[in-house]
Amino acid sequence: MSLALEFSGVGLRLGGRAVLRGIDWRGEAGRLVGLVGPNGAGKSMWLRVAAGVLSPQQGEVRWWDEPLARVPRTRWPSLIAYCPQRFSLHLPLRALDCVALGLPAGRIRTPLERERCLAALEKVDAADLAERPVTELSGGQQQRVALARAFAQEATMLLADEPLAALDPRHALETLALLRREAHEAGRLVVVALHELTLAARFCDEVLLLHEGRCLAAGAPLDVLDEARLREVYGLRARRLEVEGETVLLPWAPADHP
Amino acid sequence: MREVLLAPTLILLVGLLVLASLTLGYLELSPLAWWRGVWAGDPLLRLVLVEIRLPRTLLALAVGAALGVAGAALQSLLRNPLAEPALVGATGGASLGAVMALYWGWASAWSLALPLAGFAGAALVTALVLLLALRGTSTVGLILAGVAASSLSTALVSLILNASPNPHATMEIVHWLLGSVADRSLQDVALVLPPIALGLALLLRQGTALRRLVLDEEAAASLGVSLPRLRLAVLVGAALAVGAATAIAGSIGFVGLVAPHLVRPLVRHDPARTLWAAMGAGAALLLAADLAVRLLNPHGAELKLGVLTALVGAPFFLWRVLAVRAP
Repeated sequence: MSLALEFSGVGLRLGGRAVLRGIDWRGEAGRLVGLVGPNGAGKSMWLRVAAGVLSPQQGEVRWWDEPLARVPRTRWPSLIAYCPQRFSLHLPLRALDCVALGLPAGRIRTPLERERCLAALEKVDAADLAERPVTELSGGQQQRVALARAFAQEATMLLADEPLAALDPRHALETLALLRREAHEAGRLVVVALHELTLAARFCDEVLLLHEGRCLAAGAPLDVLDEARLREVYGLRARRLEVEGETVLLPWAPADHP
Repeated sequence: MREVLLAPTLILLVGLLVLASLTLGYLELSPLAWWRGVWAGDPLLRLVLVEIRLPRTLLALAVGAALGVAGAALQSLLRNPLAEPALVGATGGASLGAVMALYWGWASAWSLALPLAGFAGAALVTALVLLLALRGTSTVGLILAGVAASSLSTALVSLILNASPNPHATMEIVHWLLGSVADRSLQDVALVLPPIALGLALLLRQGTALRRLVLDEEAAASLGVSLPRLRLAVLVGAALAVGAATAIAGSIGFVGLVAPHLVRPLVRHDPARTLWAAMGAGAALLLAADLAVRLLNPHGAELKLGVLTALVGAPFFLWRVLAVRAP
């Protein structure tokens, strides 16, 4: 396996508050990794640091064994695609043009690039939205177009901040399955911040649990999300059920309730 | 289809307006007789063409292009449809410098003192904005720094007007402030074209980065856009183009605000192509406005260019504000 993304001793302070502390992590290509943790655990900051949007004060981030700070910005789009939590356009671009922002020139120049963008929209089941202004789409539709934008980049790594937040259940399932295929079949490293623990446990190859800016555990989902950690981190009691031969993790009740 | 036709249409439109601007003026001559006379080598007509109409036309072209591109670039950078060139402070600075040159009489002692003082003022105020804005990381900081610097220069201009010794001096300053491209020399044109061209070149090169900024600042940064560098480039480019334009023509409002809005729907809201289209639209608007002030009142005092653009631009601005506020 090849090492795509590496955090060593990463610490980030924002406005005098430590939001990430001493994070060490190695992410291998070809895997779908779920980034989990309660609100304010530092998931978004972790992704921003990984994407190069924020520079940590301590430690360093490496992309493909190269310190991020030394990678020329012109190479960034081919290495990493980052899909932020909110999709806020200030102009009513068509969905297709919006997806094209992930291309090398930020717009479609050849028929091949057009195919690439349409294929990306097709993947997220949004081909019929190609000609619509993005600002007129619903929250969930916008989220799918945002993901298509990241796909069109065809980068070696894909980072998405809560890509399921606004999706209906069917699109949420399809999107996670799609992200897993991207990881397994195209050999990308895909990291997604998630609140849906059930889905994270079912689809992710690995889960990274953040709590108060620290990486508490990383590894196989059902090992990481054990009873003690769920209680400590989320204050949550979860049930494990066997459904169709799979173990399903089901958040059940706040831990302090009987 | 209409996108393919946009560039030729704009070029044709600007070309026709340039021709009209060279043809129409205060001489009681039909266009045909005018061009025939120029062609035949009539020394008076040639003098009028080279010394009066040519500089005026070139300035309207260059100033309009500068305002259009600077407006488009700032609206994209600040992600705000109501941003306009005066926001970076160069307009206020150039006005202040020029007003100082008029007040202390440097302008009457040496003809180039007025535009040069304008340059100096624009450079100084822009430096102040850069100093204030580039320390912070937010776009709001940039807007606030620009507004603060502009207000300061406006206050100083008012102070000078207040201290002005006689009504004649006051009138001279006020007239200059209203903005015009009339009665400038080819020397003036030669002085301002290089900084305007340099500023335009710098702004037009930011197209791809501004396009990525449509997403939002973080997504753009992850696509390799260096925001501090982009802010610096747009600020310096706009200051060069708009500072030079204001130093020679006074403050001409609304063209920089309106031109990008006119063309944006025609290029599918692409910020990079909006830059180019706004250059043509800005030039066309200012050429048309300058023709209008000549034709509106052929025998009395000419309406000032800045007055006309404000008269037409303000209702447009109001309409935009209402359109933006509507859901």
